Amino acid sequence: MTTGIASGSVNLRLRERGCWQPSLSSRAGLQNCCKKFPWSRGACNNLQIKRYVHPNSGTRRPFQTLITSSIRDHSTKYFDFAVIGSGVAGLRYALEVAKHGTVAVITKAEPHESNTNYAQGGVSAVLCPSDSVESHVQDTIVAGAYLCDEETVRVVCTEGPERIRELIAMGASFDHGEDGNLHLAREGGHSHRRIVHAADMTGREIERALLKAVESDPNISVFKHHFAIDLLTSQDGSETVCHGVDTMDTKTHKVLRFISKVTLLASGGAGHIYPSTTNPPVATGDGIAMAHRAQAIISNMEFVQFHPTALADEGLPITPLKTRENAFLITEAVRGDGGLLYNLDMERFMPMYDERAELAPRDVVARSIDDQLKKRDEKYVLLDISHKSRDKILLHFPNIAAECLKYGLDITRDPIPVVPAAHYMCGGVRAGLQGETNVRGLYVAGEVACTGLHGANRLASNSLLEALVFARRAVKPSIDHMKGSHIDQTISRWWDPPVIPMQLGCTILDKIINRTKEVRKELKSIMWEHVGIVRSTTRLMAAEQRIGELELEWEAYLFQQGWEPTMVGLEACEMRNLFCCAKLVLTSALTRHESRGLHYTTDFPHVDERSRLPTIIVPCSNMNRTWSSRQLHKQQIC
Amino acid sequence: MSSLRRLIPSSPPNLRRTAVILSTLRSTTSTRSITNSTESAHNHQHSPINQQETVNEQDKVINSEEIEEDDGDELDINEETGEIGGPKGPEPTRFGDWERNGRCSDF
Repeated sequence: MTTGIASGSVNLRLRERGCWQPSLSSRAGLQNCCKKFPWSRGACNNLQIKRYVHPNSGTRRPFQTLITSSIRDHSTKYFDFAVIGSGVAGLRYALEVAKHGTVAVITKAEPHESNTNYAQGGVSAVLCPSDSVESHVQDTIVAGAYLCDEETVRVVCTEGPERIRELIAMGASFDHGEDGNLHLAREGGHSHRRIVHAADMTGREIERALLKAVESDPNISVFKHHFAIDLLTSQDGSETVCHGVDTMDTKTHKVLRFISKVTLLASGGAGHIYPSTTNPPVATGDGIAMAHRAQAIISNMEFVQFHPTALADEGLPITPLKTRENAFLITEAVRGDGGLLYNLDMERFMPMYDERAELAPRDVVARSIDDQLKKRDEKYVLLDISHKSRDKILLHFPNIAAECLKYGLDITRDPIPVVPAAHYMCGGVRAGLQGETNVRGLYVAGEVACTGLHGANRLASNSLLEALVFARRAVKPSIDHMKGSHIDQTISRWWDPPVIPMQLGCTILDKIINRTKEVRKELKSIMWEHVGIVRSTTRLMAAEQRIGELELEWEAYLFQQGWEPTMVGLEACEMRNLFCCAKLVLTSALTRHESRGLHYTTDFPHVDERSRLPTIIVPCSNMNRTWSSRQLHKQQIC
Repeated sequence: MSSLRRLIPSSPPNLRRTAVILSTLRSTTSTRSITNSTESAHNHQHSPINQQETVNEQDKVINSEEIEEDDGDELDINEETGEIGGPKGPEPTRFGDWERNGRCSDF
């Protein structure tokens, strides 16, 4: 791997520093601040980015003072702000910056298709008089296994309540009590009631309210079905600058280039690197991959949150015709109500792992299930509630009962097949307190970002909160940056445009698409087998080998069929992003020589205080780069 | 697994007056908005499924006919908790995650 990996605290100081050299911060709660970065195996020895020389950089002209958005030709559009992603982070940000300039919201499917929309729980904030920011901070840090950035946590917990009030003012409707106050629920890990919600569709309700506001804002243009391909960047000395993004309209198969003074990446997570995930199909890690290719720092990718018990389609009597798009998570309540876990030999295995058996904490259950599956080489375990009364089962869990019955399973008589599912990525593009990244003009918010809030494990209902707070925080620096920027009207010519591969013809394109589907399945399988819940150095190294080979094989196939490096297609572009994210998770996991939070490895099964540092990935070398790891417009450069 | 308890508001039940709620709730165009106070008196008298919020639950007599659909226009108050418009049935967070009808969406 040609990435430099470090464990360390990076205080992002952009523009203030001439040289892009991360400094060690002395934030409270992190020890060993003054030590050098310990290097993992496979890391390059040079922390600094090798200066990348763009062929046109020598002729970079000063920007003109014209600050308007105008449509030049049909293939390039100019906006003050470009927002990639239409979940809560993207839309919240768009609504604010639209007061100061023109905004393009770029989304790869329908605008409401995002992880936000599926967030049915709630959003956490200190809204009860007997609650306190300090308490929320502590709960977050404990959940995060003490890897959180304390300053970030404090900021988010402090600003949360105001963000909720703004949402309400924007028309989001949360459940209230009879006393007229917001009704607050209490989720696991929280020591106070502080979850606001809209029945069971909080995310959807927030999304609805924001979309409505966005659609009626004259300064915001929404480009749906536009898949983002790569960020458009250049070098200014040792600093990388972002000027916009190339996209592809997946309906018309046309390329559309966006030039923007400021870009916000709010593209969500990467659940689809795993076979079973709660994420909708759009979550293929596009933003993380684009940012990594654009030289942004990536952090803490090893911390992937899994839920222990999702309905396992393979275990159903009647196999669903269509692969389920997102996993049906079976709640703790089933275990809490007396449900028992069995392996396929009908052995009750939980007592072997924990004396609390099925009532052990979720992460223990997840690890136990994973361990059983790996040891026995099986695809799922069984969750049995059939010993309870039929009436009670149907009353408490009608959704599960109905869903299973569709596929021939009666849960009042037979056990439910379950398997863990990937749910949330705690890591992502490293962000400072204003959502800034080490790429000038590029900001991040939401699941795609690694802000330091979640640490090694996310506290329930903190993700919508993080998105809201950081989307808001990125606004002012974005506006300042926008005001100080000028767009050179010829800038669009700096980068070769992506090419739609029409000339390959349908037959070849179909072959490529089919092969890509197989490769995708294979990648997911490798990730689940080797980079799942219970990891080991041996398995991780095996994954590194296999994924490396798979990527090369796939790319070779593509180019053999006539695919050229600047060609784009939805399946191929998603695949390259999945490869990128998979490798980031894998590499990060290899670096962490301890078990903490969501990252568990049998070779280092305990927490190690010396390792209580974030994992940081720094792109450093252009050598040996695969197609997937280079920006499209840099493919010609070797 | 710790048992979670929802605090029951100490205000007496007769505070369940729409006027109080309307003055504090923002009226929106969403389906959740409250229409008028006269409807609240004839509100569906659904008894929410009263479940013990502890792990060792007891059997309760459940009358499934009493569970009515939320048609979105009437005041929908959870008698036990005083929550308006909230999820029906047992407390979604009673086991630590967010659960509705057996499907989990946050944890």
